[in-house]
Amino acid sequence: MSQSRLWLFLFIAGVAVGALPAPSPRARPAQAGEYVVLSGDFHVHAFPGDGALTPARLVDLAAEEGLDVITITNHNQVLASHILPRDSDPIVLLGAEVTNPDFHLIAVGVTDGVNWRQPAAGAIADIHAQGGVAIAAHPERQFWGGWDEAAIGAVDGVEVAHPMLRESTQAAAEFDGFFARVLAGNPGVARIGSSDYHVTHAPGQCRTFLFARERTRDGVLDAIRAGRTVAQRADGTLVGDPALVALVRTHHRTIPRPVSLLPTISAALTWLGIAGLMMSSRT
Amino acid sequence: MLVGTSVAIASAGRVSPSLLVSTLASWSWVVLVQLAIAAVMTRPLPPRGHLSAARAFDLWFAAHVPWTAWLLVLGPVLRLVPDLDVEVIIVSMLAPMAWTAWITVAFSRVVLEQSPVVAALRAALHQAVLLFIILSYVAWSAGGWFRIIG
Repeated sequence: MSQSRLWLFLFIAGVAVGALPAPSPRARPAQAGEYVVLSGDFHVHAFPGDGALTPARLVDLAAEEGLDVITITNHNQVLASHILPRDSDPIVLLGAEVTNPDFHLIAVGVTDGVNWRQPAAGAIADIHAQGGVAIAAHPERQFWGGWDEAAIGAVDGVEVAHPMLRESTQAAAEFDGFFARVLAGNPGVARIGSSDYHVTHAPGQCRTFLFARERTRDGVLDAIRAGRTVAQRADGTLVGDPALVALVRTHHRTIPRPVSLLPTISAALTWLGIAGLMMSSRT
Repeated sequence: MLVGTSVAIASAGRVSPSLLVSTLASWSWVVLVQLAIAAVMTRPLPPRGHLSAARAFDLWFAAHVPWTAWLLVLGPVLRLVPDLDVEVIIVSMLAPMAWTAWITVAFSRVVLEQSPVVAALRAALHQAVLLFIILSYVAWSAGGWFRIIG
């Protein structure tokens, strides 16, 4: 076998191994009284935008991570949302991350873009007019300036679980400070956990558990509006009303993902193959 | 192929046919930009006519080795160090940029037989255009130029 054929073989073998089904922690959503407990990630970036993967591949990844619903939220545009697969499972809600120098706001359940060159309260009103919900995204201190009392009173949710919290205790203090301020003016506000997935880690590393009346788009939006949510941080900590946290612990079957070497083997073989092909083409 | 593989490894930790096809299709615009730049940068051919346009093209793409190596390393690095600071990635881009500029000057001098001044100007222009394209995509995808220029 010539060297380039060997590299090609490794590459193809890696892709073939990558096609083998990955073990998934997915379980049927649990029933808690009149509610179904869903697992969602409402802050995920896709291509075209600053996310690496297309919406269709994000849906695959979200299913592998045991999510029931995701929202694709690219910055100030909904292009990726419009090329996402319809009737998918997990449920995919259209969305955007309204990105203003003074605030970042997640719009969930909107079909059109939202004007980002306006105060947060105006953007939230636009989101509500489209039937969506508005979530304050990663509220670090640098974004507090955009939140006046009108915006705080109107926002539907606040990200209290975000990968940023894993990296910095300062960020944790700032998130807590912002949430306390919002809670004082808007007691029903939903606690949201989001991965803010772009390239690394995975959708759902921080997530939101929702107590929805039904496993539908409207059921999800209704649960956020009503504040029936529990946020889960990257370390597994649950943040929310103690009664709801207890219900999540009791009812949501979080099944640990089985360890599999298949993805690593796929990546290693494919990488060796492409590296070898590149080098042999230059010699 | 390299871009698709690297993106799939970094983002999903594996490479499956559907991931590969999807990442290849979505990032193919990068290849189109490379081809457009190559069409400009391989002109004018030396007057004596001993170099074909196809050979010039081939030699030009040999100048992509620095970025090829960078991309090749980036995929697994991001998988292994998922919290790598974006500043580190940006700084790491300086090496392929400088290396590419040096190769571009050599290409203009040796292959296209340009003067040192013209070769340097072409390399500077190439880097400026490349940087503008990268920054434009970053600005668009991040929500606006204010995210970059503050």
